[in-house]
Amino acid sequence: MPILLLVVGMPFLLGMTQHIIQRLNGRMNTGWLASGSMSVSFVLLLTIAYQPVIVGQGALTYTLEWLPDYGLNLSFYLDSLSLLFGLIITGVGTVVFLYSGYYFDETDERNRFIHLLLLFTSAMLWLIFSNNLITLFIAWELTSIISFLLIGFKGNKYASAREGATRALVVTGGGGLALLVGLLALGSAGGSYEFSDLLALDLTEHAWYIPLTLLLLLGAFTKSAQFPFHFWLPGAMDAPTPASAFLHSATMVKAGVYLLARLHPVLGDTLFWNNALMIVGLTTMLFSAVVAVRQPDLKGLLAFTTTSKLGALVALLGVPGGYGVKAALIGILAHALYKSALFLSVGNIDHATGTRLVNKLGGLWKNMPITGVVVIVSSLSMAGLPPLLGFVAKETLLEAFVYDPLLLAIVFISAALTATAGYILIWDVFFAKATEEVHFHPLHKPLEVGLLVLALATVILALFVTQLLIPLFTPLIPVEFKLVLFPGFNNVFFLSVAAITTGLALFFLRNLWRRVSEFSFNTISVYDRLIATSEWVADQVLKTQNGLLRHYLIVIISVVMAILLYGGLVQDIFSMPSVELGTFTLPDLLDVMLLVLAVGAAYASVRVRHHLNAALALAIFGYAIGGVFFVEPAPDVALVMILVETLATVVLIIMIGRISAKQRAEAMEALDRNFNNRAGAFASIRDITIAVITGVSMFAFALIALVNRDNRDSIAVWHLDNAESAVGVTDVVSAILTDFRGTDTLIEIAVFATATLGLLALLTINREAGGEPEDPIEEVTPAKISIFTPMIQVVASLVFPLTLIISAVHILYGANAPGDGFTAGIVSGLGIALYYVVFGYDYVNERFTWLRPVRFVVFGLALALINAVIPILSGGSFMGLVEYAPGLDFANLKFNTTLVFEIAIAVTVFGGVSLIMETIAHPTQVPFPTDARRTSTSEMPVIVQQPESEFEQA
Amino acid sequence: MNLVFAMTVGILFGLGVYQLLRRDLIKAAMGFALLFTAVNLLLLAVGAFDGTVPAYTDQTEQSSDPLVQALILTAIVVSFGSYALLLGLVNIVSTRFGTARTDDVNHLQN
Amino acid sequence: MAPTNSLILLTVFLPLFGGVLSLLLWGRHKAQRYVGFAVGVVAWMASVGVLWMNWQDGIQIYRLGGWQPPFGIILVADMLSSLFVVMSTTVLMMGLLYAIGCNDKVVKHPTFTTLFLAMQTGLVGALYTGDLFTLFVFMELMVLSSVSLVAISDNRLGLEAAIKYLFISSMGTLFLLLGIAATYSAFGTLNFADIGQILASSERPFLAREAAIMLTAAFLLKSAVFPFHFWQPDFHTTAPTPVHAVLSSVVVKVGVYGLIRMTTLLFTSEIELEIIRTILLVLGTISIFFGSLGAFRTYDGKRMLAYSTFGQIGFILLGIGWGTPLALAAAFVYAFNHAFIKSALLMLFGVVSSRTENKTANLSEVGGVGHSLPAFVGVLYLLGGLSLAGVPPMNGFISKLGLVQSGIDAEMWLTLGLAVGAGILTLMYMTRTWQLVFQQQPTDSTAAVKSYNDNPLAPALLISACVALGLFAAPLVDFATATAEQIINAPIYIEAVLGTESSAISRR
Repeated sequence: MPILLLVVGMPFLLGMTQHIIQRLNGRMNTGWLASGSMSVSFVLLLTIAYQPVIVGQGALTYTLEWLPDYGLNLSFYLDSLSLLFGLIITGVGTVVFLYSGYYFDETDERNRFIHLLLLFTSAMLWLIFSNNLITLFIAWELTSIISFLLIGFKGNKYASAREGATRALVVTGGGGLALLVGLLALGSAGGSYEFSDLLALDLTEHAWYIPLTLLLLLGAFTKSAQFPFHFWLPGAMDAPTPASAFLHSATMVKAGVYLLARLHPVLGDTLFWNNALMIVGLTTMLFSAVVAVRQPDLKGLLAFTTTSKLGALVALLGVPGGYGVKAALIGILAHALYKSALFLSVGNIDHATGTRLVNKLGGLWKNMPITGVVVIVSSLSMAGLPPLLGFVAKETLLEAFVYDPLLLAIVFISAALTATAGYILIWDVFFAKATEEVHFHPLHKPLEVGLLVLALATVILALFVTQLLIPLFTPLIPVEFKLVLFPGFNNVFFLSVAAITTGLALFFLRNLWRRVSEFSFNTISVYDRLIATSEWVADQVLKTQNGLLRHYLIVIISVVMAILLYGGLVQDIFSMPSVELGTFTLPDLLDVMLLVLAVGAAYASVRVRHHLNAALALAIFGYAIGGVFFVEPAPDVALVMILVETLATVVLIIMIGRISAKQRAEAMEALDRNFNNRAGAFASIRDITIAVITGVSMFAFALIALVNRDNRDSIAVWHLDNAESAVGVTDVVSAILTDFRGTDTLIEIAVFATATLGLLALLTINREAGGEPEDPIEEVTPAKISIFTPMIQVVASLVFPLTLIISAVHILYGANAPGDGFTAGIVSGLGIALYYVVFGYDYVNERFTWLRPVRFVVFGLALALINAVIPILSGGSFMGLVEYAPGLDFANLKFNTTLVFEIAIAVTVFGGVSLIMETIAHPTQVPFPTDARRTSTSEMPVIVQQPESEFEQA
Repeated sequence: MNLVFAMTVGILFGLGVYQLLRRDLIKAAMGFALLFTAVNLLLLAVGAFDGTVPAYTDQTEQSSDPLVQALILTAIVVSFGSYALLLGLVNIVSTRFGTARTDDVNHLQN
Repeated sequence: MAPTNSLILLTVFLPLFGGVLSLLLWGRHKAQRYVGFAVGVVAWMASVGVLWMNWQDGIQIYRLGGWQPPFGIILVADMLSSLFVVMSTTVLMMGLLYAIGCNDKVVKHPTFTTLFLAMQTGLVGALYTGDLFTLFVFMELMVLSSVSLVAISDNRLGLEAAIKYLFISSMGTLFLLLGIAATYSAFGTLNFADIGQILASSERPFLAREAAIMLTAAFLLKSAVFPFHFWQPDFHTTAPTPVHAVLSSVVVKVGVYGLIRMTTLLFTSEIELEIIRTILLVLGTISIFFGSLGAFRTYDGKRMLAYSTFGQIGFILLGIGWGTPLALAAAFVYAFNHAFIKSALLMLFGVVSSRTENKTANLSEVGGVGHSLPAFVGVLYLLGGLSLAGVPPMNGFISKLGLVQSGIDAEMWLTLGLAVGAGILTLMYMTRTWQLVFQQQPTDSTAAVKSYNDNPLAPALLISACVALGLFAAPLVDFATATAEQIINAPIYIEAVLGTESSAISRR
């Protein structure tokens, strides 16, 4: 049984190694190699299948585990059906590969093509031999992909090839996705992903029957180019002709039919199944036959006859009681033989004459008799003349539909038109007089000779149809059947004769018919309209990405607030047991006053138009909140709050100063709410509403928190109890900051450093890129706003040392009193800030040569990290507590990791702050080289590209 | 007292959001200063117990919740970091794109 | 109590060390980038080691400062976090590798490597930490560093994207802080395990639902789910290629991770779970719709891939929302595979655009640029695109397979239909761009101008990983299944973190 694995895998391996083989032997034509391997596979298949399958009429299975969790096994299943397809693939493949070996003029094109075709063959064989639904799907999609690549084979030359390829992939691949869902549903419905188990079941009663059948049919119809999905197949004719012969007539397009035939025992022969297949199949059959005759391009003609035949096959599988299966099987075989032969012949004609248009061709018989013979045999087989396999196919086809006059009529007309197509191929191309001189250059012999094999098969299989095919078909056909070349003069026979002659009549009226059938109904336009519609929808969706930050924020805030109110707050508010609003003690009075001050300042900062005033109001607000924290009581927080607020205000003011007055004026105008025009009124009402909603819900939030605050148990209690005993610190807050949750603080200073570094990068990235600003900025940098009165300078220069002392105190005694490394860093940083504000950038730079902020940041972070690691060395853990000098007791200081950590924090923060000051105080301001406001997204902005540009620290 | 405190928090959030939605980048940035301070107040409000003395180990009985204070400290620093970066961005944007109006910074859209 | 494991420490803090080190190499950008890559490799090894130990002997923890949780803070590496960390470190390593071969101006800025590694620390720390507030701090580290990186991008509109993102993500920070406030107010603790067991044991306290909602909002904003997605396409598109590859593949997954934690550990009681799952399913579905259509119609290659991330996250959310072990496992597989595919595709597009004038990925300017690149780049792009569309035998197919199976289990026909539709759209836009870039002949307006291009080594490695993950998916799937089984019973985690006597921890 591994032989089956070999049969499937051999083409793949060959395809993968083909280039190497080619490299080893440059003159070698890998077409021969591939063709040989195909014939070997053909023989192998017959030998392994003969005993068990043909004689024993059983099935072979072979399983390897792959991904059992998802029920995905690498399992194979060989029964008569898959054997039939396997023989078709390998047999036709033998000819096609030989043909492709000589079809192409450039060698590398040939190699690429044979490479792809070999991969396809593997996938196709895997598809039909796979016992596992999921591997079937995998192979299915692989064939779609390779078909995509083959259709787009000339994509670098022709746009039509690219479009055809995409269309084919979207239709077949999309259908494939539906198929996946269907197959998985089938698997979980049947309780197994293996055909060998499923074939025993009958799922027509299952609850999911309709949906999963629908999905499976969708997959099959798209793959087998059924109406209304058929348009991809004629569009696929940009593929090189051998590919059309192999994929788009003999094998791949039959995968859908294969699936239907495979699932017929499990899901088939219900009212739903039969109607679906009949309607779709017959529509395809008739429609394609009607338009086939009028095709100017020979390949187009063949494509439409192919879809017509596929429609017939699908319809046959929907004949009630399984009376169509026999005809379907014969049809598959016959069609594979004559249609691939015809395609290859058309390839010859194209190759020899350089055109495929019917009205340009003619009289080729004298030039290419061998191809002529092949075409005659195959076309007559297509037309259904005895003694050819196509005759048997047509007989059985008509026989299957004889029970219903309407269906019979449809089939009859289609058969007649197919016959007409056959006559056109023979007469107009080979015998009719050419309108103008047909250019001709001779062909490689193998291109013609190979085809004779197919023609011969068409004849021989017909002659020995009974002996050869009955044993193969018996297990597949659910009803009593007989299969002979010539069943005698019954009405079916007369019907088919009538069809052939009608076809002949239509052939003489073909020009009339071409005009008659010129109705412009074309499902590609439907497809295109579908695409256009989805594009329209997509555009509507993308309109929401309108680039307006405020809209984004509004959407986000209102959605969250809505969910918050609906999902929790409302219930909690109303389910609160007893809303006791707490007592009002005397110290609270101060608290209230501060809160009122804070609110007032905040309101001022919102209402005041001028930015600097707003900034000052913001500062007052911050101080007020700091006071609140102090009263609360949370002295550490209060201290940091006030310091940070100061720093923030300084930064804010300098930043505002750096923005040109013109722009600030414009921005302020944008602030004015104007109720006189509707849009403005709406906007401001909307904003106020959102603000109010947010405020109310946050009020509720805080109230709930406050009311249920007391005597709740919290991990903080443990901190209070263990601070002294565990870390020997009385200030619990700093104990938490530096020990219990020390890592938070470590990351926190890392965040701070990152922010400052980001700021540096931001302001230095384009510093050396010159260019004049489009709005000349009047320099409001500290250099200008600095106040050069001697008094202030003295004060400033006194302040900085003072700040350093304060910082030292904070670091050393922060453990037992408010303040810690962070406050120390900020305080000293503020000292530097004062310098920058008072003396300006240049002065500071030449005065403090030692001030290289980045170095401070680096040193601080490194110190913190190392200090954090050291405890590990002494068996402790990261950020653990270690006494560096246990014995030493100096001014009741503890020289331990905590102290070092505080120092590190201080240094980092100092570095960060001075980095901020140093960056924003930098006088130069370089705008973009070109005007940013003229760039729209459609054309991305230009960037001054200097691959080797160097940066130096500012 | 609780009521006053909660109302303050609510009002501050409202003002912050309103400020955030101004058509002026500088103002909008200030809005975040308001919001972050408001959320710090809220964090104080969720402290496990309403103490009357600072969180020192000598009298743990009436002391205020030290953990939230630690959290607030960290939050202050972190939010100051992003505030500074935000201001820097506002500054650069206004120079490079030549405008400080929020709605004019809309080159990225489709 | 689980064993302490200092490899976790290495994974988290080594990048920070590296960042400081590369600051010392100020101005020598080559050396900086090599240091960065070396750090990335070591961190990756460490994370893989942690994963392996997990697989061998259960959850690994590290008590920072040696304090007993929930009083101290703790790093926890259970299977979920280890899986996500390995995913992240792999992609980050590849990003750093790409940066070495990258010709952008930004990667030569002296702070680039530091910021990148800071981002890595933030990301990995956020995934490992077992404490809510520490999560917040790590996330801030991640946000600020990524904002800085985008703001200095070669694409000068990065500035605009950065400021928009900083505004929006500050809203996210606000939500996160509110969530933390509510959590602390409700449970009096910040430790994941502690919260989980309290909510499981006691009657539901006030503000628990609010906590759940605010945290959900914060995480959804971090992973750019509708309607929090507005920042994502801009921010990701304008980012420098190595950063974009990381942002759009793993950084967005932090939110996903947080949501998984919430639904499996923090808020396992009925009411909260109900709320969260409803939110996830609704918003996830809308995201799939928006993301696929946006990617289908947008004008820029990188932007297209950013939108597709938007949609793919939606699929992952569906898995989390269904919440069955099968669905969760499928979600993990999906997230893991998506990280590889997406980062690879983005790097490939970066390689393509590095050939064009002013480094654009604008689809009107990259037509036929692929002809000037090595042929295998086109093959890689096609493979990646098919994988993204869920075509076998790539790993994207495995993801889709698992998700569809669990969807059929839950009989979610509508969602499955949506999945099929999105798949078709993905197929369309990926093949279209492939044809545009690698098949179509360049016009004189789209001819490649640069003589050099970024080094395609990193994406090549990633794509081969994708193929391998597709053909030999069993280990990943097994691991994901085991992970799902581990996390759906929270007691394992709680016991590992707090120890068996956890319920008896006295607070007073």
